[in-house]
Amino acid sequence: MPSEPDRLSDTHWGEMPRAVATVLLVVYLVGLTLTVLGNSGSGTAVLVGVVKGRLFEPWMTPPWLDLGFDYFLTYGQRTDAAHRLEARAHGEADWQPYPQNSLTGPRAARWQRLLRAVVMGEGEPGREGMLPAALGAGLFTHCSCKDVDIRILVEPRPERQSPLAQPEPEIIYEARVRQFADGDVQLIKTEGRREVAPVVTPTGAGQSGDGQ
Amino acid sequence: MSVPVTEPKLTAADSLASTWEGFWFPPADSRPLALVRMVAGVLGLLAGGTYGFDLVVWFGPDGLLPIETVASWRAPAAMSLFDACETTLALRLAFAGVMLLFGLLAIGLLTPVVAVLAAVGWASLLHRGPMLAGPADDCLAILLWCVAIGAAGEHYSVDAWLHRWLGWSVARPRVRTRLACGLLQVHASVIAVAAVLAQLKGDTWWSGTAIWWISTREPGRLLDLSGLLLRSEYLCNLLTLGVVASEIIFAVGLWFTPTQRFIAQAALVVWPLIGLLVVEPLWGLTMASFTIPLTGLAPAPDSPGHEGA
Repeated sequence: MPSEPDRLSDTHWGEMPRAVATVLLVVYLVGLTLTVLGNSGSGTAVLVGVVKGRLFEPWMTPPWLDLGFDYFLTYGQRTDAAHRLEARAHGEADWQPYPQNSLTGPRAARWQRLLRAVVMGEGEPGREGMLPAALGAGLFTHCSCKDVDIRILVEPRPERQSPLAQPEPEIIYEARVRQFADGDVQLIKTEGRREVAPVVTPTGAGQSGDGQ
Repeated sequence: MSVPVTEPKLTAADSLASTWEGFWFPPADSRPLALVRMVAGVLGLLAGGTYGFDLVVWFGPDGLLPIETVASWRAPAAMSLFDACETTLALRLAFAGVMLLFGLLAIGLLTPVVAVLAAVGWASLLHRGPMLAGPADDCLAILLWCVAIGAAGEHYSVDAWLHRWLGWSVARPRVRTRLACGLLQVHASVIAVAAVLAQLKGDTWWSGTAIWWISTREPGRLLDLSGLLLRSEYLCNLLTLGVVASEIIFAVGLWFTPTQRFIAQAALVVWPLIGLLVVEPLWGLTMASFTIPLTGLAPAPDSPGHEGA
């Protein structure tokens, strides 16, 4: 406890500063609660989304405080698995990994987040194609041409009970990215083959087709 | 002459107000926050350093994440000083500036200004590529803002040395230091609770296999436990449930006086281990640093012990 009067005024806040600080703290703590509720991966109540979006996002986003802390770390699903990016000049046979050196530690984790964002973005309205087009255009120099193929593969998740039966990595995104003479970048997404219902012949014998 | 005072009966509102005032507004010694400042500076260098190798690849003029794309991707209110860096040189200089700020923060030079600039610089770097940011980056941003609020440069710093040398005596318990420490405590709990809630939405955390799934993810992994986990399912369960239990104990235990200091001290060890297990080592370190003010590691010399809130 300070003994001198000047120190006392420095170290103890009066009624008004405490009241102001209380208001600010309450507003911030409400905002903190809403950001946790509003940034959950499980979805957000419309009310929470609107209140947070209008009253809190404008001032909580710039200082990087609009955070949900939705750190589930893994749900054991394909989206949590290791991703890798490969590219090639369009028409070439061999795919090249990018980045070429195998990375470790937090640096590798950032690349993983980027690739996951590319894949997840394809399912988010308004974000489809944005990152793949940017990635493809960014790889023009790497591939020494303005027409490249990019693809993202995901490593299989080995079950603990059968860890050795590892199938090949699966392609979860593939696209061709090219730049025209006027500078416009075009993204042509390669749709994967899909299972379709078997063709039923008049005799009743089922046949399967790949639908391509 | 002393006047006998009868103690008035406290209503619930009085009690709440008193608890609120007692938590946020008693002046606090800034030594613990100075420790947080040093750790935050070092963590900033480590986390920022992971951008260094790929800075131009990501954010350069012909990079993978051009400004226009990122601006369309991120929240409308987001902004970044790095958006103005349209050349490689400007980008490198801006990044070096942020790293320099973290260095200055760690040593405690011009702390009041540097702490704010480091928080702004870090938020700017994250907004330049929000899809690259992870748990450690989020938590570091909060840590930096808390350091900026409190008087974090009054001890263990070049500032303190300069002040002593010049004969200025400014170090004293301050309310804003207590506010910073209180915010650290609140965030430590909120982050742990939010993480637990997110984890318990998935089957893997209930079935005790989450650590197995994480350990099979090679990129970013510092420790390969998959062989060990393969041998013992019990170990796998123990580690997975141990992470969840630790987060719950941490979130709750910080609020009870009898457990507070022990939990905070244990967190200094447990959180880095959790970070290692879940392949987020910097997140573990950052979470551990939130608890430093509650550990009693840097008590004021004239106090019998640092009493947490």
